[in-house]
Amino acid sequence: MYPHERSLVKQLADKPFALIGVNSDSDLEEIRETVKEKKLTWRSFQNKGGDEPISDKWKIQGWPTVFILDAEGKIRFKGHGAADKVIEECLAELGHEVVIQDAESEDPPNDEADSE
Amino acid sequence: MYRVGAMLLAASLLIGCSKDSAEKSAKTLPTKGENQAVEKVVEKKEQEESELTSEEIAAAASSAFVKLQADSRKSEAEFMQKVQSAPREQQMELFQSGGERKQFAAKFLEWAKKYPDSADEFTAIQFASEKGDETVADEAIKLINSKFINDDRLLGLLNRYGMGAPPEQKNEDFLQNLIDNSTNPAVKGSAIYSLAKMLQTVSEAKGMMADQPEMKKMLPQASVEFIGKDFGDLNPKLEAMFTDIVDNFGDVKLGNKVLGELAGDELFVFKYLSVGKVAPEIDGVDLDDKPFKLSDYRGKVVMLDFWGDW
Repeated sequence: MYPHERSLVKQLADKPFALIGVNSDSDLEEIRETVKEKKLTWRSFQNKGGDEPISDKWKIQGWPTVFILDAEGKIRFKGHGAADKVIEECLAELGHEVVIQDAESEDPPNDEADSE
Repeated sequence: MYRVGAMLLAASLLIGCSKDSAEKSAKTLPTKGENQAVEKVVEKKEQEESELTSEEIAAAASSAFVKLQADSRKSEAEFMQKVQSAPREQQMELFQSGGERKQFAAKFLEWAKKYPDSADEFTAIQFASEKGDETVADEAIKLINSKFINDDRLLGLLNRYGMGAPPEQKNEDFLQNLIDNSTNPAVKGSAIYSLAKMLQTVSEAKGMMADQPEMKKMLPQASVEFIGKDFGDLNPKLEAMFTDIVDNFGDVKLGNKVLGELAGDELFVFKYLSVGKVAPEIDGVDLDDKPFKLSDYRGKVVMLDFWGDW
């Protein structure tokens, strides 16, 4: 499940875009390891870092759930499905025309990797 | 990861309930230890039934039911075992095949018709309505509609529909009939909640199906057709239904919650967490315990991803 996120972050690195996680794992040490191992470069809230789990406050009913917020913080998408189009829309509103590529083509197997 | 989401949604559409309630539903059919005592009487079953006293018929009915139930459970357990041990890529298809549920549903219906008004009639009909093929399920639903629309035991069925009944026309018809005709407030309130959750699923699935046409292949044809229907703008309809529940059916229990709380959560989502609303602030700590806020990222497009590495 990470290739898509990793690819998104990479493709949009120079755009006004941020991937923010809310992590629901109970074992903090373990997830820190995972983050290092799998090179998950984006920042995540600890779901239970505050008084009330964020997922409770946000009434999350299934994982993973994704929200896309525009530059004004307005919710533009909420769900489990592909949100790339909405991200493109929101970026276009900020004057950035982007076409997001599928993770598969971004993370080619070694033998197909671009050689410079 | 989206594929995982789609699979989860598809699975929930198929069985029409959360993992939690799926576990519960596996235990729904009651055990009938008390019936073992009467099994001897049943030896007489071979005789003409007209010669049997009403007690003997009841005993025969009960014994046949217990056997059917045991066979069905055994078959289901073996089937789930088979699904779990199948190669991952085949699990979904195998799961969709449903094992012998349809055959058992037909047997339960047959039993219910043979022994009308028996103690377990409702349980048998319920099983037939949920697991049967179209003919069996339709007939079972007709029986429920003619005999049980005010029956508290319907709540068990509606309870399992808490996450939303599988989105199909016949389920909408069934729930709408309860809403229109049941005089039992618990049944009526639960039916409104089930229908609202079902329409919510429809609304989500519409978007997913547009993005991922291959989803259509993962869902039963009846669901694909129903989701494809034109419902107009579902949001005002849903908001009205949840408001109705909070106002009129708040005390009705669903699982360990009451409908007022569940519908209240939904209304909260409409007000603060739906598309078009400004997202609530998150003031928390990152995985290294450093504090940060969601609003730190105002001015950027943010993908907020509720995830877990499990």
